[in-house]
Amino acid sequence: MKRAPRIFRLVNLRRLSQAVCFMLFLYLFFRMEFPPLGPSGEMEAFRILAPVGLFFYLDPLLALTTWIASREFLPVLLWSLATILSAILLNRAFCGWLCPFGTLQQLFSAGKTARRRALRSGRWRWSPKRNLKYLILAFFVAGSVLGLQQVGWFDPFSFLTRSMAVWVHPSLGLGLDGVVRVLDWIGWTALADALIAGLRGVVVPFDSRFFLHALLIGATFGAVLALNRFETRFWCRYLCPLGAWLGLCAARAPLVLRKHEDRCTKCRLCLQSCQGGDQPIPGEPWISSECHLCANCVDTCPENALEFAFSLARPKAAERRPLADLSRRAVLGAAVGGFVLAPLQAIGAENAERDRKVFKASDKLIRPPGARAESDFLSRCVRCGACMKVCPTNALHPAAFEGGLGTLWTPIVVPKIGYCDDRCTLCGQVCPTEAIRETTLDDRLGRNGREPVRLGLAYVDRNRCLPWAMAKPCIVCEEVCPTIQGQKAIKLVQDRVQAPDGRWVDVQKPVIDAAFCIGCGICENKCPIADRAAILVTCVGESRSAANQISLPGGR
Amino acid sequence: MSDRLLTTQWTRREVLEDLLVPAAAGVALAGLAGCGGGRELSADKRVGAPPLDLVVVRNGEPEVLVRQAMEAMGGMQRFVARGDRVVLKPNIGFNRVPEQGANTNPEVVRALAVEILNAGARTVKIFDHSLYEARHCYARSGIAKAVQDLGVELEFVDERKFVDMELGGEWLKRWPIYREVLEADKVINVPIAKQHSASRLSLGFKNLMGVIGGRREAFHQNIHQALADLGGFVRPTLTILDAYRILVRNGPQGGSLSDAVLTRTLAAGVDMVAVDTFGCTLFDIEPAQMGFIVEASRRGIGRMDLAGLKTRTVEL
Repeated sequence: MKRAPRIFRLVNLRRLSQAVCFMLFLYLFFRMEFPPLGPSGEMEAFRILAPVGLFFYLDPLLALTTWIASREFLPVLLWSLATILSAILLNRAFCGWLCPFGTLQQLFSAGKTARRRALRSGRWRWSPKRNLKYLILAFFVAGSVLGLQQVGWFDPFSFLTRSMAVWVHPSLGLGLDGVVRVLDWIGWTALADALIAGLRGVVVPFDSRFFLHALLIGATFGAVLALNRFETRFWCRYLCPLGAWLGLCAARAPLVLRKHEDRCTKCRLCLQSCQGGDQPIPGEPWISSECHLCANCVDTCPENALEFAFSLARPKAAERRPLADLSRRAVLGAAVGGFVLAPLQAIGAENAERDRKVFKASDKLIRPPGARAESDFLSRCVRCGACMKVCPTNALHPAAFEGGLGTLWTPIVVPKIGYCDDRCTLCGQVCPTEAIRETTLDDRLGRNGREPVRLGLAYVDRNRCLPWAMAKPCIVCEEVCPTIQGQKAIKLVQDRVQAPDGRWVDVQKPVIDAAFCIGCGICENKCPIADRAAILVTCVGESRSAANQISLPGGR
Repeated sequence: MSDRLLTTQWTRREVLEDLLVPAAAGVALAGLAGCGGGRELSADKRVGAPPLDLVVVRNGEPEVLVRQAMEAMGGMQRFVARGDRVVLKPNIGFNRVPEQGANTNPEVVRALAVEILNAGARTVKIFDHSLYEARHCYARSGIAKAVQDLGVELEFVDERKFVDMELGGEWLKRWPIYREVLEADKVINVPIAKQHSASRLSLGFKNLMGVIGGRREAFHQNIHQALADLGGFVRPTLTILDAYRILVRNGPQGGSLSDAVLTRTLAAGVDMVAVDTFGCTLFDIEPAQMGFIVEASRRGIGRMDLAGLKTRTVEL
């Protein structure tokens, strides 16, 4: 058989596709950033024009769980049908050709030692342990029936974007910082300036940012990458629920690996380079649902004993075992696990009474502007961290357990670290599942008959506030308080008070006018009391909750 | 080591000891030598006194206001020499549009930049240490757009560039000042006139808070002293008060169109105290009630006796 010219060989096309998709992913990730040019009308919001949600829209796992969990049809996720179609026809080609997380796994599992290990360890052979990913899938799908969207912990694009946003991106900033300091030190200031001018706000953060709980997110990312040194594409073989979902769709795929046992010399080169671990060697059954169509086996075989072909005939069991050894009992068990664990996570399920308890659990569960009511929010948020990446003030951070296990790594505003700019709508623009709805400036500012979007409410800690507690002038909070519907939420009242030394002094004391407070947190952010501000924002009064209020509607 | 260089296998340790350590030492020495060569940093950018102490232009569009004011002051060449590196310091502190009167009018900034360039300046740097998120401020203020085709450098504040300086003030002894201001030949201060709850008004002195780093929010506890200390150290070549629109309520960022009043006025002078004193009249505030103006005048930083100043008012 004549070989195709090198460039047109399947492996090279696959590598090209992987490179393009990975670069595209990085490009879209870095475009989750304040857009470099302003809008044409200055009263409009700044808009990100790049399709930064592309990979999420192509993700049928997110489509499935988001649709089920939110009980609402989000049309943009229909794009993922293209991925389903690719699996029905071409097995898990998506994993091998397009998925940027898969490409990253492949990069981290590359190398001669890894190839040798694949043979020595015997891990080229199918193992029922790889069915773990189907159980993970069953677990999360079952959870979504209860209205919990928790697949984001394991969804590959959510995992990758979150790790990049919270761990890699700030690290790049630190790295540049270090390089620049050395350059400054040796006197190459011009180069340092050029690096900062060229990279800041493009591939490194504009500000020097950090995220709460970054360690845990970074550590899980590192662990997943490190597992590749144990076994090639460990994540894809054992853990990825998207891979499992595509494997299910590919159960009857017409694309088959045709093996010519007569030509095979048992050199086992195909097994060395196999990405999916699908037993390409003649004489063993081919596990089609594990094949990423990486085509390494076809390419490396010196005897041309392997080729891809299309066949609609029902395969013989010895040739192909889609979804090998997947026991019904295990799947049911995992699904039941999804139900059983639900109460642990269920703050935010569809239950008004429980919804009312969310903010009782934590007054610091301040959600980004445009976020839906908590139960609805948790049925959509995939914890991808895109909002945290784009937030220009570093205000959004991954939550820990503020609202129970279910809120882990969902975004919350931490005003002390970053405030929410009153004229910024970027987080709603990048949210792939509309857990944060896109807002307009009219929404945010309460113009043209709208109610302003409120994240919470500020209150003054009179025991710490300088004019209240120490008879010192200050008013920074009033200075920075944005004007909403014509007024500031922080008003100053004049008072004559006695200072600690007995003198009588005139001070201006801040008091909150709740009707004009949107909970943006800039007061807490800029308060000169550096550790615990004398003015604090909690989530009471948030627009998204009917229950988490002080007064009745209109009586704010 | 010379014969070994070509003949023997080098171990990693040898490479480190024989090559890299001397190289690093050399680089470090060169760096140290480079540090010593700079001239002394200062923030006093004043040039000789012009014939007029204060020029006020009324009833014009921003560009005309600037042109008339500079003409009356004797032309920009009087202040900017050919080849100068000039810092133009507007207020770009807030995520607000020009109509809201929180930032210096972009047309005023543009017209001034053009004047400075026409006077032969080598570089014009424009920046502000914004209070709100900087990229939003630069874009929404309209200033980024207004100056983008002029060939000036609009830069975001870079935290590396703050240099601790001895201010010699009565309250502020030592404070981080932006290096561009220290290294520039001329500094042109172009504030917008606004209401402010701590200093009562935000004018020329208050605008200088955009060239410093540090914990600026602590200034408010003794704002008038702080501003006088700062204005005694940073001495701009020229202060141009943009009062095309003034913000009369909810300062210093406002946000509501009704808080900004169109006054179509601009004042210029080398004496920042005189310019700020004039600024008070726009708000019907008695200058004697303005702590930082009184304090600065007491210290001899400038004069607040408007009647005694050589003033020209141009009515368009």
